[in-house]
Parts: sequence; structure tokens; C-alpha cells
Amino acid sequence: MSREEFSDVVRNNHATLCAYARVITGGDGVRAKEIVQDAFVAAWNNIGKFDVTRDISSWLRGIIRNKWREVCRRNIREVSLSHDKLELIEHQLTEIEADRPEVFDRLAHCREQLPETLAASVKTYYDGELSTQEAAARLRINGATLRKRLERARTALRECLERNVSRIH
Amino acid sequence: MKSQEECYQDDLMDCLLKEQARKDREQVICEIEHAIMSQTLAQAREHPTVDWKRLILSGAVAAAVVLGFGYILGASLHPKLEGPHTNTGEDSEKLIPMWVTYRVEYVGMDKELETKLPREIAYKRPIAPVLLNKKEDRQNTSFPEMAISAFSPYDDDPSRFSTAETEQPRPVLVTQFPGKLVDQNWRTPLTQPLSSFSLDSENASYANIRHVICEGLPVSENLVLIEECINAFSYDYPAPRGDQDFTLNANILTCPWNDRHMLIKIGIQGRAMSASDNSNVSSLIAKDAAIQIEFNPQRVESYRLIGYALCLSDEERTAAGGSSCLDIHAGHQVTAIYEVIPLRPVFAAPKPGQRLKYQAAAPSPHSASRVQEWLTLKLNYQDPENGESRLQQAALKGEAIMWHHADVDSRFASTVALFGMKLRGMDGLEGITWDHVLAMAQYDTTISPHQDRGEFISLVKALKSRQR
Repeated sequence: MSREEFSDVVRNNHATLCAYARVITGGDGVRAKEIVQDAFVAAWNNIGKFDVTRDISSWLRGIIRNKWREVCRRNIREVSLSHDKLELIEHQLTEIEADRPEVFDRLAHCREQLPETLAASVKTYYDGELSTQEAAARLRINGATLRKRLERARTALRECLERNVSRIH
Repeated sequence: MKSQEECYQDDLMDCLLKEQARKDREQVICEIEHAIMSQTLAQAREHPTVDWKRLILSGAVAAAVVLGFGYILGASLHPKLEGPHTNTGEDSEKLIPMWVTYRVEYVGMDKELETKLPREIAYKRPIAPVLLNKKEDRQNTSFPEMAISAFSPYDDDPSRFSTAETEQPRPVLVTQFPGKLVDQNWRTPLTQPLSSFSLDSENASYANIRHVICEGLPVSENLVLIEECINAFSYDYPAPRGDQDFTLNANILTCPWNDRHMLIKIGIQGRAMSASDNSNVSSLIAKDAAIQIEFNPQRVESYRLIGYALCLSDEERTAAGGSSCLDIHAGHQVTAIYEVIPLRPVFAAPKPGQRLKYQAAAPSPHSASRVQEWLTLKLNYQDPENGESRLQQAALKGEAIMWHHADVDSRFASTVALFGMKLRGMDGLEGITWDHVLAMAQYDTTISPHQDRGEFISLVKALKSRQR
């Protein structure tokens, strides 16, 4: 694989990999970004060992898991997820095809179908990158109501992604 | 009560939504590319490989010289400078500071407090700016702690933002310099034979452009100072030899964006620090240095200096041929590129009072040699120790090398020039896309000793992806 081709791999996969890294690191965005960066460096260094018949995003997720395990070994306060839990996450990821870059286009399409109150909550909290309290204040609702709406929105979005898996190819 | 599976499903959706909302995507990609390049460079240094192409070429050149044909062949095919210069190659690694200057505007701020706050802040990449969170910045203000913590637009931690009822002021990144910049015009040597450019080699514009691209923002043409982009990179010029203070380097190659044009790359390399330099100061080697180039109208129909765009008020000063003089320190290097339209020889009388080399009142015995010259470089400066005026000059002659056969540095510098020209929307680039720029940037597939060139390729790729 050429350097240019690998740059395309970086561009196409970094977002889904960052999302995956967030999940396995317990939601830490900064740590997730660092691990994904380390994973890409390690992948490029070992690109000669990559079996081109395999799915590269799956291979990269494996490197991310190893990187996180290394972090956990060095820092006893960090706890790596068990093998069973990682398998569960991997299954859920492939179920909604969140391992493919197109997932964000599908997610945007699903967001358009959300009821207005849920869509406004998602937009204010996620797109505004606000805390729960800040977003709740902006929407003039209390924090518990916002958390509930976000949970319902995420469930609805997930169901929408599951329905749309077979259509988007 | 949710099951574990439902919890992970919810976490996954939460993380996907956060990634979707991410605003620093291009910066993340740039940082990944930079990390890969850094690692690759580190490995290359640990395990250097023989450059077989250069080895074979060196052997071929040596063989040609021995046979006695190489010098004559080289003189007719490759332009060379006449005048004092050296052929010793002495690599000097130049650290390029990667500072980004933010001009800060405060939104919704108390006006009295605003006067006490900084208007410009510089930060070194890739550290994200955390404004006013430093103790030394807060010492001169009575700004409340919570408002200070709100000044971190790139901080991932939302808990650092204030939860006050009133909207907290946030700094706004101003992404362009004030005033309109006007590119250098085409000039004809018959009427304007003399050109000059500043010997300064600032590179802040390139750092700002890089940051803007990584932020996913559009690049304002007023942000682009092409000469600062070109000089953001180091080039391998021969080091001065003996008691020389500078080498004057120039080469001519075909222009990759216009078949009828050529490019002349000019490089000035100052000597390194010597034992006689005063170590208490930063080794000044020349005072009031200024460069002047005289173009030969018998070879050049017209020329334009790429970069060095002017604020409108500077036009008059530049038209008079003046250029700022500069004090130069050891190791200083500056590179400039001219785009040239070549011409068959013509002869014209010089203006009264002008002492020109290529436009004498009558043909001279030396004119046959001068006809072959494209230009003459003159570097005037004063010795910082005794104030003695010094002059180094050299002439460029010979035919242009095809771009693809030129040296790596010339190819790269011209690519950076094109990068800047496209960002500024300069004329003469019809049909040239970012695909062309990327192809030029990637032409040299061997690992460059300059890791920042790999990062430049990432920027071009980002611009290429935007044109879709």
C-alpha cells in the first residue's frame, strides 16, 4: 500500500475509529484521539504485514484495542474492557455498520427524521458541544428532562441506522 | 434498568454523535499525518539507506569528467553561476518554528476590561491555544476565574466552560491580515530591468495557512504571503567557503504551469557561525544587506516576482526600486522565485544615467557572453565589524532544465509557489487544479530529510478534497 493510499485510509476511517476508541476508553475524547493517532502510526509501520484481503478498519480497531490495553497496563487506574465486552461492542458496531465512513451520512439522514423536540435536544447538546446543564438552560428545560430526551433520541437513531443498513451501498 | 448491551448501544450512539459534531476534523487528520511522518523520519535516521540513484549519478558525472567531455557538456546544458561560489555541500538543519498568531476579538466583553486584555497571542502548534489560563496572563487583569476558563475554544472538556446565565465572551480567530494585498506585476527588462526582494525569511503566513486549513476554514487570499510559504522550508544550498559570507545560488527550470514560461529560483545562503563571531550576540554577519537583480532583455521578455505582494501604499516605494535593507545573522537563508517569459535577443539603448550591464550604448567585445546571461545577482552589505561595504555578485547563464529533471529543492519550492499562487487566486493558472499541485508535491517519492514537506502534502490533499 502506498503512502497516498494510506492517507486515504486515514481520511476515510479516522472518524469511525475515534468513535470506537471513545467507546472502549469510556468516552474520553482526548484519550481516544491519541490512541487513534498511535494506532495509525503503528499501522503504517506494520503495513507490510497487513493482509490486503482483510477489512482494514477491523485490523485498525484491533490495533486500537491493543493500544488501549497498553495504556491500561501502564496506568492501574485505567481498566480495559473484558474480551466479552469488546466482542459485544464489535458486534453492535457491525450491526449498524458504524465501522464504515458512510455511517455519518446515514446518521445525518436519521437525524432529519427525529421528532422536533428530540432533534432540538440533539442539535443543542451535540452540535453545540455544550454540557448537559448548559444545553438544558438553552432549551429551557431541566437537566433530567434533557438526559431523557437524548436517550430517546439515541435509541431512535440507532433503530433508524439498523433499518437503513441494507439500503445504503 | 438497562441491560449491559443496551448501555453499550447507548454509549456507541453517544460517541458517534460526538464524532459527527467534531469541528477539528482536519486538524485531527493533519496531526495523524504529522505523527506518521515524524515516525518515518525517525526510522530513516536510525536506518539510513544508500541513495543508489545519487550514487550512480555521481559515478557517471565523475566518469564524464575523466573522459574530458563532461565539463563541456555540462556547461552547455546546465546553467551555472559565474562568480565566487562553492560546491561544498554542508547540510544544515534549520528548525522551523511553527507558531500561529491569533488576533483576538472579545465578544460581549466589558469594554474597560477588554482594554487590559491581549490583542494578539501566539501559540506553538500543535498545542491548542488556552487563552488567559496562564498565571502570567491573569496577573494584570481582575478577570473572573470562570470567564477565564471559558477562553478555551478548542478544549474538549465541556466542564471547563462556565455555566453562568450570561453568555461568556469567547475569542474569535481572525484569519486574515488587514488591508488588500496586490501581487507583483509583470515587468519588462527594457523599461524595468532591476528587481529586488526583501532578504527577510519570515514564515508566519504559512503557519497561519496551515492552521486555517487544518481547522477546515476557507483560506482568505489576504492571509497568503507566498514568499513566507516558500521560506517556511529549508533548501540545500552550498555553504560559503573560506572568508565568503554568502553563496548566491540560482537555477532556471521550465515552468510546470505554463509551457511558454520558465522559473528562476534564487537562493542566498549565509555562512554558519564561526569561531570569530561574538557568541554573546546572535552572530551578525552582514548589516544593511540588500539584493538587486538585473534582468537581461536579450533573454527575458518579461518577468514577475512570485510573492512579495504589496499593500497599496507600498507600490510607489517598490516602483522606485527600493527594498528594505536587513541585518543578517549566521546561517540565514532566503529563497525567491521569478516567473520569466524568455525572449530572443533584442537590443535597446539604456536610459540616461543608468549603468546597466546588458543595455550598453554600443555593442562591446563582451556582449556575446552577456547575451547568454539571464540575469545578474548583486548582494550589497556592510561588514558588521568595520562597516566596510561589500559586494557579491554572480550571473546566471545556460538553458532551462526540464522541471522533472531539476533538483528536488527546485521542484518543491516551485510547488509551494504554485500552492500560494492558487490560494491567492493569481492569474495565469487557468486549468491548474489542486490535483496538479498534489502531483507535483508527490513527485519525489523518496523520503525527504525535511519532515515538514510531508505535512505540506497533507495540506494540499485537504485543499484537493475541498474542490470536489
